[in-house]
Amino acid sequence: MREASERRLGDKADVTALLGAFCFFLSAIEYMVPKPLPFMRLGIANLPILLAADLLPLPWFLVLALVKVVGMSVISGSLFSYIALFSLAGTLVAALVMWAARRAGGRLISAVGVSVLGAVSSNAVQVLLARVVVFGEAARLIAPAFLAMGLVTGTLLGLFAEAFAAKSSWYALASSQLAARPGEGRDEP
Amino acid sequence: MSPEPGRPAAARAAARKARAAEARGRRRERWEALFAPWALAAAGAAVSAAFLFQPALGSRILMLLAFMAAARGAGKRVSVLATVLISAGIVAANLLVPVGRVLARLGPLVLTETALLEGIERAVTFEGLIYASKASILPGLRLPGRFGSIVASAFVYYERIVEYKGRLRPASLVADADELMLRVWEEPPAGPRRDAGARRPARGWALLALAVAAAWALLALS
Repeated sequence: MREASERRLGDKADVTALLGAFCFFLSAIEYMVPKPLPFMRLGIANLPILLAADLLPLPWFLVLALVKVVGMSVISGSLFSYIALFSLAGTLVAALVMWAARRAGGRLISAVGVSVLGAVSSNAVQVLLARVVVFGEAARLIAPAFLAMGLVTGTLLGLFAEAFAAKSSWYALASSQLAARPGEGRDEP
Repeated sequence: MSPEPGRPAAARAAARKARAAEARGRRRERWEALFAPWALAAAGAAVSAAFLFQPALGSRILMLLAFMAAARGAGKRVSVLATVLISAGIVAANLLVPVGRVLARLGPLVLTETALLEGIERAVTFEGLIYASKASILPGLRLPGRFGSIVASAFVYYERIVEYKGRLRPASLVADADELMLRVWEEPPAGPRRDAGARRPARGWALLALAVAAAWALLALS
């Protein structure tokens, strides 16, 4: 049983689904935190994406980002609203920035650095989008607070991700299984 | 009904909340029995598109009210106060940058016509799309293709996480989260829950067709 479940950790589709489920779970927790506008989120649901930057190849990493956006939108019933648009733009930009930072920085950049870059870029894109669809020129007034929030939550998420990656046996198993079976679960989604 | 004198206000409020939640649950069940998730989502997309292209502010406000009623009918939480407060925030933010004819001056704040109308339009669009989406997206919605099957597997894992009996304590968050990952992972996700392909009454199909036709007719008339 244990062997079979360990073997499944080499299946990228399954790992993507599990990490996607964690995004939904963290998003549900985040939903309970009061916020001035529905699209202003803390970004804790990006934690599994941060962890996946070292686990999944780029195509599956992007699938995870899309699973997060679509699943969260279905759960919250916001699939056709601007909230989904904000979520899509913020998540994809954060995912791509985190991926690029991880690949370009290697060991020179910590999970905290990757996380802060992702959070701040996600929030910056959302402020730009807010300027176009909600606030107009006044969006620049919320920008400092929104970007500062990204800095704080990005740092906290990065610290947690670093501790989790160092101590988690699930993460260690998934890393080794995915590295040992690079072709399993098809490389292309 | 007269207030019960011996009962503390908190208990009365809790009972009121419980009754409201129960009523929402009943409305949700009726809604889900009436519409197939995919058909409701498709109709929601069509109505949302008509709403987004609607140039007349009056028609948009009318549609927003209809979406709020539909979201309530779907058993979703509809807060008029939150809607008004968020809309007021959006309008106020738009008013900070004066554009167009000056309507009034309130100290340092200049109330301008174009900024006011743009603010109202943006607020109505923002809230309208949220309520249209709330009414038309059911949790049972299944997406097609390989991507859809990955999303469905993620929902199966999500249900397991929600049902997980272990604890997540701040003091041992990393270890507890690791245990949760391992437990949830132990069994492969069974085939995703299907919508059971239950037949929906003709009334539901007719209502969806009517909603789409009305939204596009309103757009054509504007």
